Amino acid sequence: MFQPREFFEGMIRELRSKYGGVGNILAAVSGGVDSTTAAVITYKALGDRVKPVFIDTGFMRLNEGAKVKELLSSLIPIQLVDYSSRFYSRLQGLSDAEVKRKVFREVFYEVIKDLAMKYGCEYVVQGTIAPDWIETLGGIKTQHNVLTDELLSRYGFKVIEPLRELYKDQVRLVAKHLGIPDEIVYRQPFPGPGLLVRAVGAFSLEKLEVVRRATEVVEGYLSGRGISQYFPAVWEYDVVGEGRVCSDICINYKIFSTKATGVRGDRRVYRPIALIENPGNLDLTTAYKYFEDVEVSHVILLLNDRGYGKYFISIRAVVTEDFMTADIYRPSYNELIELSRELIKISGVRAVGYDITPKPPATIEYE
Amino acid sequence: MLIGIVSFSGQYNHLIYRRVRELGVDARLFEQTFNASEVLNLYDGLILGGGPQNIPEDLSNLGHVVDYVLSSTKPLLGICLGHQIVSYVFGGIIGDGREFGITRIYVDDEDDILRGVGREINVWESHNKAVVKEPRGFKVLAHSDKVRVQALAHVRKPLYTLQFHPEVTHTDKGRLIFKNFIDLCRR
Repeated sequence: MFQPREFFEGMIRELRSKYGGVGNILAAVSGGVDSTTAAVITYKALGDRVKPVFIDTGFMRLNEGAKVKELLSSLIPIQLVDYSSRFYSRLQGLSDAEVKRKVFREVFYEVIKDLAMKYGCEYVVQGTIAPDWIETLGGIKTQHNVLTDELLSRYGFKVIEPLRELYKDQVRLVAKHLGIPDEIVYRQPFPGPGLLVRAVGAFSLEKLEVVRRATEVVEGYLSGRGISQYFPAVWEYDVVGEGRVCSDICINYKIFSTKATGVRGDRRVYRPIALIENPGNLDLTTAYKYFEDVEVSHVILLLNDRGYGKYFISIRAVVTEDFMTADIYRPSYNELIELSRELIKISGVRAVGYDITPKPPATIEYE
Repeated sequence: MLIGIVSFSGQYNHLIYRRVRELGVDARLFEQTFNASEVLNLYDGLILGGGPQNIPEDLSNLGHVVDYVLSSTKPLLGICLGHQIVSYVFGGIIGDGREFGITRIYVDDEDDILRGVGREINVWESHNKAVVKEPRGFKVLAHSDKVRVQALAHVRKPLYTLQFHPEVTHTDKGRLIFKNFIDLCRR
């Protein structure tokens, strides 16, 4: 089995022998377990030539930067830098999932380049882990932290990726070994582009504000239950079609205009989302199986609809060890209704639902 | 002992590597561009992983993989796409058949590869096509409600194939299936 101490000692030796002679090194820390572990291990190997920064992209959760800096104050000295207005102006109005991710990545690396110049760094540390590059090379989703040789030469810096061969569960063991606080070790993953990819479809500051408020509610309600990842996503309540699938029973569904990503047979799909309005006695575990032959990406169960308002909130909660496959978490129906009653109070929200699609055929995130 | 894993850029190929290494056996992931004599001498067993390709349309882009399948005398395990490649090469028929995520399969014949997994298990699948007619010389080991051919074994050669993914953590008994394969390679 994987030995975190062995990995740590080997990586310290490797980092010292490969990068012992280079100048300053920039470490972008998001507060997630991957980027934090990568930064701390590099800092332990190479000392204060490593410059850890927290970049506020504007797509972070409430007070995220200050919390992360405080949690890690005894391990690494983090600088907070705010680039939110640059991100907002470049992303305003973009709708396509891949375009949003690519533009985000572009701005992110411009910012990294600016910071690397400011601190005189030739190298940048990243918390890339195995699923990140497997997904990008397979063409499923563009991860913001996977750089091709072409991108590297365009931005003019080199990357250090100490966790490249590890999976999340292994990174957590290394993080524990390094003395990183549990709040970060066991923190649920948060995508690089943050709330941008949870404001599904056309990006606007209004939608971002809805998803930020919903995130507070959902994290507050579902934390501490051992769920691997749980979050809300928001899109326009815009129904453009309906359908019916039958095998032993029949299910009626509606189709949203908004598209989301999925993965079917190792292929990326980008398709509309289905909504089941009357679940009846459907079994949460297998209801999505009725949709195997339907051209949709995610299947959502309606919990609450007040009949007016602009936005739909989808609650997503999954259980997984390594994030390569994910099963849905199964709360009781009463709990879901209770949570939906809190979410529907948010201004502009018309309806709330629960995503019942595992990975595959959906991805965990929507974009 | 060294296990070779042919990667067709599938999502879970890296997990196959991880599972084999967790059993204390050395493994190497490589692409199908190496010719068969190189590959078949080097490894004690070969695993063909999943990938986005369609069989038979994309078979011509899959390098030397047909040679691996036809000339291997050592144990070979085909998973998902690998299952469909082996089936097609030996004369089986590939047709429509989609399954994603959790799927119940019924084990009709454990043979060596499914030894000890039990009569019914939940496995995870991700495929748009399926084997609708098995090739001659193979027996069907398991089926699901939707797809009749979930696992195959050759009646004489050490060739085994699975439509589902034993390498993902959500599949019941996945580790045992890899252990069974490693045991076959040790024989």
